[in-house]
Formats: sequence, C-alpha cells, structure tokens
Amino acid sequence: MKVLIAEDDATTNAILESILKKWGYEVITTRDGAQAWAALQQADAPKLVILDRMMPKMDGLEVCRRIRKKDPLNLTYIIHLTTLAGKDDVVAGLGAGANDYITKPFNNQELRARVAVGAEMVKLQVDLADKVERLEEALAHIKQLQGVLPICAYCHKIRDDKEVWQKLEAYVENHSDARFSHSFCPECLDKYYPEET
Amino acid sequence: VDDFDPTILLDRLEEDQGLFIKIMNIFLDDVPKQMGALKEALDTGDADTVRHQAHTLKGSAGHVGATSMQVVVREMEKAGQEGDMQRTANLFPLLEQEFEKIKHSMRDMPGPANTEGAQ
Repeated sequence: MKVLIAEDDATTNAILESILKKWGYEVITTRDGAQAWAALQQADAPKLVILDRMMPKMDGLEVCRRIRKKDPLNLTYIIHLTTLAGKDDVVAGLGAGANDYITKPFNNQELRARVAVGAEMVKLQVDLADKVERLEEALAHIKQLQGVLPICAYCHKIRDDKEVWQKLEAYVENHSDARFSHSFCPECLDKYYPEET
Repeated sequence: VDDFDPTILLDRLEEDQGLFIKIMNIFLDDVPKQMGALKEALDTGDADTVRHQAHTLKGSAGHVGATSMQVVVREMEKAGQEGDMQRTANLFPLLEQEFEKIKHSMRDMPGPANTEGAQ
C-alpha cells in the first residue's frame, strides 16, 4: 500500500521513509504542505497519509481540511504526526479531519500498529466504496423498470419515453438485464396445440 | 542528560546499522542548515521562523537520540513562544556546542557507525 509522508524535517522524513519501506509500504515523501497537497492530486494518489502539523507553505491542518473537502467519502486515512502534544492540539487535529494522532518522538511499535490500522481502514473503505458503486449501478438498472408503463390492452406493446410502441419483450430486454426464453403456458398449449396435450 | 544515545536511533531503525549511518549523515548535513536559518531569524528578529526552526530541530534531535541538544532546542522553542528572543539568542551558542559534541560522538564511534559526515 502507498503511504504519503509530509514532513519538513529531513531527518525525521528519512527515518519515516526507511522504516515504512522496511515494513513493506510504498512510500512517497514530501517536504511541505503544498508539495503534499500537489502529490494528493495525482491519479492513484496514496490514501494513507502521515502528516506533520507545522510545515512551510501549507500547514498540516490546512492540508487535512482540503483532503476532507475534496474527499467527502473519507477514503483517505490521515495520521497527524507532530510534537504538538497538548489536548487543544489533538482536538484541533482531529477536528480538521485527521483519523489518528501520534506525537513525536514516536515509538516504533506504536507507529507500526497505527499505520497498520490505517492501512486496514483504507482497504475496507475502498472495498466498501466499490460495493456501493456497484449497488448504485444495479439500482439504476432496476429503476428503469419502475413507474407507470402505458401498455396496449390488446397487443400488449409498451409505449416508451420517445412515444414509440415497442413489443413487450423488446421493451423489457432494453430496460433490464432480463432475456426471454419463449415457451407455452398450459392454457395456451391446450388452446393452440390440443393434439399435443 | 547524555549528549547522544545512539541506541535510540538504532532501536528506531530496528538495529539496521546501514540505515543508522544513512540517517546520521542526513542529520549531520541538515542540522547546520537549520541552525543557519535559526541564526538568521534571530539576527533579523523573525520570531515565527525562530519558533518554527527550534520546533523542527527539536524533532530531529529527539528522533536520533541527541538528548542534550533536544533539551536546548526545547528551551529555545519555549523562549520563542514566550516572545523572549534574547533568551533564545543566548541559548544559540549552547546549541552549537551540543551539536559539536554529537559530531565528536559519531567520529569516536567504532565500526560502521563512524559516518563520513562526522569526519
């Protein structure tokens, strides 16, 4: 899984990059908030973000707010990693949309566990979003056959939204995934093919 | 307080000596740049930059186990937050001394931990 690091301190940035790679993550590093925001605009951008708070050009809170504004489904998991450890700082970080908050200097085991939780959440969210999308697509198909359909009382043709009368079979096939397999019901078999019964 | 405890960084890097050297070289290369920016901000009275640089140095020092340097920059950041630029400036020579001690510690360290950047 890809992880974006936004950290202006070269030493901390290099430590994070090294250990995250050791743990099997694909790492993209940035050195300020503006770089991080630009990296997140790319196609296939990381959905797991480790974000410092105090950075040049754009601080971590602003990056966080922008991510949430652009990503209302919360598919991006944001971990604030900062030396700002006061309760107000934590509240501000979470209030801006961060999912988690770790203080520096970080403990390796704690960081590893929290990043793993983030990776799992991202995977679940992406899977869920994919399922919702497929359900919405299916729902769109079903909706095509909802509502009042004008049908001829004699030949059973249906009038579509372009005022064209279509055979019942053609209409249903065009507005759903259903297909017809022609057969005879017992009454019609009796009526039209009495010799067969 | 110990000047420098390399086991903190080694532990952080899961005992990887190669990474230890790489990170210490980055630290020894980057800190003088940060200190230069801090000194310039002190000279020009740029309080925001002073606070930011002290804050960043605190993070660097803490992560590599430069404990005494971390204590000094924490004091500098605190003084900066209180608007006491004079105290921040007074602490700067102490920061330089602590950084020199780390460089010496690295140079005196036996084996692969002896980085080129500390020569």
